[in-house]
Amino acid sequence: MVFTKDKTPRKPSKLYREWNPLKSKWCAAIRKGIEEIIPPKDAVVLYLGASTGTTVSHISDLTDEIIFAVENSAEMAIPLIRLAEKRRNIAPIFSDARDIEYIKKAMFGKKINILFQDIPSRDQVEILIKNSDEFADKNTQILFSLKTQSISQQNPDRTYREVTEKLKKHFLILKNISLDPFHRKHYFFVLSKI
Amino acid sequence: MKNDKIVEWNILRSKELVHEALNKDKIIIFFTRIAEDLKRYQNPNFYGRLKELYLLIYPYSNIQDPKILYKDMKKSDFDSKDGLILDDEERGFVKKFIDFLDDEQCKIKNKRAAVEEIEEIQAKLVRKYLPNSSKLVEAYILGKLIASVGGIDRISRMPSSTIQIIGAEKALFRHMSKHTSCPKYGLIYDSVRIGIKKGVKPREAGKRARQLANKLSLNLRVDYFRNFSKSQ
Repeated sequence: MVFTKDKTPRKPSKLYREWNPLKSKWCAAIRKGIEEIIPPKDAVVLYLGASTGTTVSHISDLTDEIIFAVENSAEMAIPLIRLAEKRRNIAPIFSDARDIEYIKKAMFGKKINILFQDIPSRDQVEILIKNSDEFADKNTQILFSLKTQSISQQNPDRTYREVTEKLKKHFLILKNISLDPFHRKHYFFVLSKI
Repeated sequence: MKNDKIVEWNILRSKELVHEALNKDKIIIFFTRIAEDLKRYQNPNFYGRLKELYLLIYPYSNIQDPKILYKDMKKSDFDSKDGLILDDEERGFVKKFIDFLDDEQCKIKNKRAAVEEIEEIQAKLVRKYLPNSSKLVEAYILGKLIASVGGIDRISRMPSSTIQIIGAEKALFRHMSKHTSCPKYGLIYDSVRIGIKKGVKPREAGKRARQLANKLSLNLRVDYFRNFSKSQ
């Protein structure tokens, strides 16, 4: 089980909250054995595809620095903004992840240490490449969670092989793993720029 | 720049953008779901539905208790800075709906009158915002189509073959996995133009469903880009 220390000021105070691997792909990857992706205290994170902010709340427990959470849908962004008002170290960015100009403007030139992407869309890989070209350098840790079913309905192993070949042209693949008991037909990559 | 200022700028800016992005189709979906609830259940209570609407109009309020929320809703004039904007007619509709409700349990007092009134309100809203496509298909079917997909922006991007079988997903996936026969129609089955109730045979009805869905997809796009889309 994975727990994070709760930072929010609430009244019957809980010291620790459980991080559920069934709801979060980052946690599922930690449970599968990749322990170097636990963010350190001085990490600045760019999180693409934040949704309502379940995972983001746990990341904000772990780091003291800022998190940029990008989300495109209005209904999902409302709970995210409410979370950001409570926590004070999450910057919610209401924008498409393909719109790099706006994200760049909203980040005010901050350098990031970790880039996480979880957007179940057909051009998932292209979005990652676009963003990493702009924001990442050699030292940034790039985390990528792949949903094979949103790319193609064919056999997931085949899609996985095609995607890894695409990624090899732009990145160094440090670790790759399937998230099988927690998320079926999902894969997780730890990458760095060449 | 310091982190606190970056966070504050982003919260303010994304509140503005969310306010612009909330579409009027939410109010159509709200009344369609109420009409469906009234048909499906004998006497439901509407705390949950009221909370949905309240959180669209006042998205950042901290009220959680449904009874306090209901009292607050009776007084309010539905005028908010960062939520869904309603015009005078729509505010009147929402107030009319709240007047039907019982104070103690939030159930409908006079069901027969309420059902007629709410169906009328739903049809009026659909005709106001989707003038072209409501001439093709009945208003309650259009409302159901939009509510099941989740928004007018999604349905306007769908191909007509998908619109034809919205609501028949179970039969479609059974066809794909077990190779049974493919469904011909979904929610548009009840439409007068297909005419199943008048005794049209299934094969002919399948053809009509295809043609109707073709025209509907074109008209939905016209309505979406005239009334809802903000891009130039």
